[in-house]
Amino acid sequence: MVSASAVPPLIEVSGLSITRGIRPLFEDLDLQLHAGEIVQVCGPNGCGKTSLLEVLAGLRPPDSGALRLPPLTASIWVGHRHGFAPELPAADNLALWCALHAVPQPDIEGALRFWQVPRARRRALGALSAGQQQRTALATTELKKDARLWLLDEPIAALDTEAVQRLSGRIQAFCARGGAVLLTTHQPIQGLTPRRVELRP
Amino acid sequence: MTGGALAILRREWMLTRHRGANWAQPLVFFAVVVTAFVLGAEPEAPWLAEAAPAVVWVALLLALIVGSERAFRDDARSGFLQQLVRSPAPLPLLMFGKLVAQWLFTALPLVLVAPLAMVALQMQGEAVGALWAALWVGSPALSMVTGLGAALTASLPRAGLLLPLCVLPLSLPIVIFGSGAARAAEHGLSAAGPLYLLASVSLLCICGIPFACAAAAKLQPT
Repeated sequence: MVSASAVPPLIEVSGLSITRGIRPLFEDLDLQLHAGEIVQVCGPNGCGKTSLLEVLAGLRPPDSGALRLPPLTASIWVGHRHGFAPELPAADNLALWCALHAVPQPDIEGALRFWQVPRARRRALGALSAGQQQRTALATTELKKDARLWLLDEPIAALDTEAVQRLSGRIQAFCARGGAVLLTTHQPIQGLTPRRVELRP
Repeated sequence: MTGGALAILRREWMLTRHRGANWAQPLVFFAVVVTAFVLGAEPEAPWLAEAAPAVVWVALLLALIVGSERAFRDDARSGFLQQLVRSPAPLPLLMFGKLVAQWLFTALPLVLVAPLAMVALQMQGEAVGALWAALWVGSPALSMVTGLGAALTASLPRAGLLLPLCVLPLSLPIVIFGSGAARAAEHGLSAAGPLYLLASVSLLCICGIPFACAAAAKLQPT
C-alpha cells in the first residue's frame, strides 16, 4: 500500500507572498493539498483569502514563492463573480460554461434539478435570487466530472441551510472519490471537518 | 479547439437579442452624426460630397466606440473574462470569436446602411461604390481596433474617456486610407491602391489584435 505522504500533493505551495498595491496581504505561506483532503482557508476580511484562491486558480501570478498546481482543466473555480450573463437563462449560461471548459455531453438539466435552480426557459439568471445564482455556479461542479480539485470562494455565503447540507454532501462524496477541495468560509459547514489554514497579515 | 470561439459567437448573438434596444444604439448614433452633418451644412454645397467619405468614416468610428465599450466592460465586471482565462481553449482564439461577433453584430449593420448616408451626403457615381468597398474591407480593422481599446480599458474607472484616446492613433490610418479610396474614385483614379492598403491593415489586425486582447484579458485586476 502506498502511504498518503508518498503520493505527490495536488497543490504544493512554498514561500508564497501576495501583495495588493504596496500592502502585503500575507507572506511566506506554505501549503500542501492532497487528494481526498478538504482545506478551509480562514482569516479576517481583507487578509488575502480570495487572492490566494485566484493565484491557485491561475488568475493572477504570485508576488513570490514556488507553486506546483494541477492543470487548469483539472480544477473548478467558483468565485464571487461567476462569469454568467444575467440576461440569459441559467441553462444557457451553463451550456456556455461547458463549451468553454470542453465538458463533453453535460447533463445540465440534471445539475439544475439537483441544485433546485428554477429551469424556466425564458427566465433570466439576473431575475433569480443571489442564492439561486450561487446554486447555478455550484452546478458547474456536477457537470465537470473529471475535475480533481474544487476551489470554492465563500460558497455558502448566500445559501440556505438545505443547500449548505447539499453542498456538504457533495464535497464529502467528491473527496471520497479522490478529489480535493480548498474553500474559504467564515462559518463552519455542517458535516465537514476540514483542515484549517489560517492567513495572518 | 474552435468550439469555444463558436460558443462565444452564439453567446454574443443571444445577448444581442436579449439586450433589445441597446443593439441599435451604434446604428442610431451613426444616423445622428450623419444627419446632424447634413442638416448643419448647406445641402447643395459642393464641398459636402468631398467631405462625405471622411464624415462616414468618422461616424462609423464613433458608433463603433459606443458599441464596443459596453461589450468588454460587462464581461470584466461579471467575471466572464476570468472564465475565458481559465478555459483550456487558446485565449487569442476566444478573443477572436468575441471580436468577430462585434464586427457581425455592430459594424456590419452600419456598413449595410452606409450607402443611405452617402446619398444623404450628396455622393454620386463611382465614389459611392469605392467608399462602400472601403467600408467592407476596412471595417474589420476599425472594429478590431475599437475592440482592443475596449479590452484595454474594460476595468478602468474612466473607460469612457480613455477608450477614444486609445483608439484614435490606431484608427487614423484606416480612416485616411478609407476616405482616400473614395477621393481617388471621385477624381477618376483607381481606388485599388487604398483598398489594398486597407485590406492589408485589416489582415494585420485580424492576425495580431486577438493576441493583444488576450494579454489585456489576463491583465484585468481580479
